[in-house]
Amino acid sequence: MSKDSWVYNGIISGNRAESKKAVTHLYEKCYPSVQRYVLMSGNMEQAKDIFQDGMTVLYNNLLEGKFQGNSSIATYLISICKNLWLNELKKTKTYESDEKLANVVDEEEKRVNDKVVALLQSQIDPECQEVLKAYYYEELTMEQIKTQFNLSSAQSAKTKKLRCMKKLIALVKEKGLIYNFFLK
Amino acid sequence: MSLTDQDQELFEAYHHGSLSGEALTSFEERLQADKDFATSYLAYKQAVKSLKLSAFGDVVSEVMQEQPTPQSSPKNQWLKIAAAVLILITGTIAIVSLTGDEEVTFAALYRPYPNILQDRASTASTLDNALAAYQTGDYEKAAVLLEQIRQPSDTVHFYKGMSYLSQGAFDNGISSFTSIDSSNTIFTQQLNWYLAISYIGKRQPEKAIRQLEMIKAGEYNYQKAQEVLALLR
Repeated sequence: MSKDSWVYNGIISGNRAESKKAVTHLYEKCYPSVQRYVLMSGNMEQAKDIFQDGMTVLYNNLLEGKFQGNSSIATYLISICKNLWLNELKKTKTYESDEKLANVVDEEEKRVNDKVVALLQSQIDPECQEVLKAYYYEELTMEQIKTQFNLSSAQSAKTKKLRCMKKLIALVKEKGLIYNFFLK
Repeated sequence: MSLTDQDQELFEAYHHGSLSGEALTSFEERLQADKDFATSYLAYKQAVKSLKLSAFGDVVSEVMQEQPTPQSSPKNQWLKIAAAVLILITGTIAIVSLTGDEEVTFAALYRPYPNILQDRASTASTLDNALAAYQTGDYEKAAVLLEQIRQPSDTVHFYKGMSYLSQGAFDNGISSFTSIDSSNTIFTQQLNWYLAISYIGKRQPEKAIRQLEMIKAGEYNYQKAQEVLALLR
């Protein structure tokens, strides 16, 4: 994976600038292939949705250590997008194919992840979402969060983060949206 | 039971691997004994992952909005031709509306020819590696490897052409296809079709017509060729 390591590191870094550079590289390299594949039986909007979904599945699989590095990240992403599109077509029950693809998308895991993201976006207020993303994705310190969100102190940033996260955990628990039932 | 701030901080510490000694033992014992606490921890883990996925999704959206979408072509006769062939090619696949804003040109006509040599038994040669790359959709790598083969066979030329075509490199694709003696190859029928759609990709309808006319009844993609011809003429 050495050739790809900057892409891998960029994606999982949590640093928006690095992440954006890696995503741009993958978009330029893979999106045309994904678009061609989807357009054989779908439209432009679907091609964009599949690519966006594919990127999220890629990120999830990198976080979960599911990518073994047997191919380039770009090839892996294209396989994910093909899987997603074939799964989409199968749902219409009008698709028949003998095309054999490596199974790189865990549909149940994706379903749970998508639902929690939807819950986050619909039930948690926008500022809470941003504070939580700043802490858990960008891994900013409370001091940095205080400055970024114009809060009175690092302690109030921490209080806000705890309160927002408490609400999200309660929602996930209430809806039973937990994919991994096994403790590590 | 409601989750306390202290519990949340314990989750974070455990998640980051910063609990140790007695604190770690005590936390793990509680996970085993207290089902509600364990469920809260799993919910915490899922919440953290979903926050990361959502934030990463924001970055992807931003990039997709900033980057140009690959070239689309004007709506003209090509749209009708490609859409009609799309129906034929996809067979039982759900068909998109022909009057919408779908981008259907060469992309709609094109479908990679399968790797017909995938089950052959041999040690991994450059050709095998190239075809493996081709099969996984890594057409760039496939083309690079196929270019390295010194005495290319018809198979090498054909899949090189397909690899270029898959990347939208029509001139290179046509050059590879025309390196094959079309009167004396197992790929004669396929060549007519893929050369025709290469010319469609290059907006050269006369050449596409000539190529499609060479496809005889019963040959590869004959019916599709007739449909395209009817629209092109």
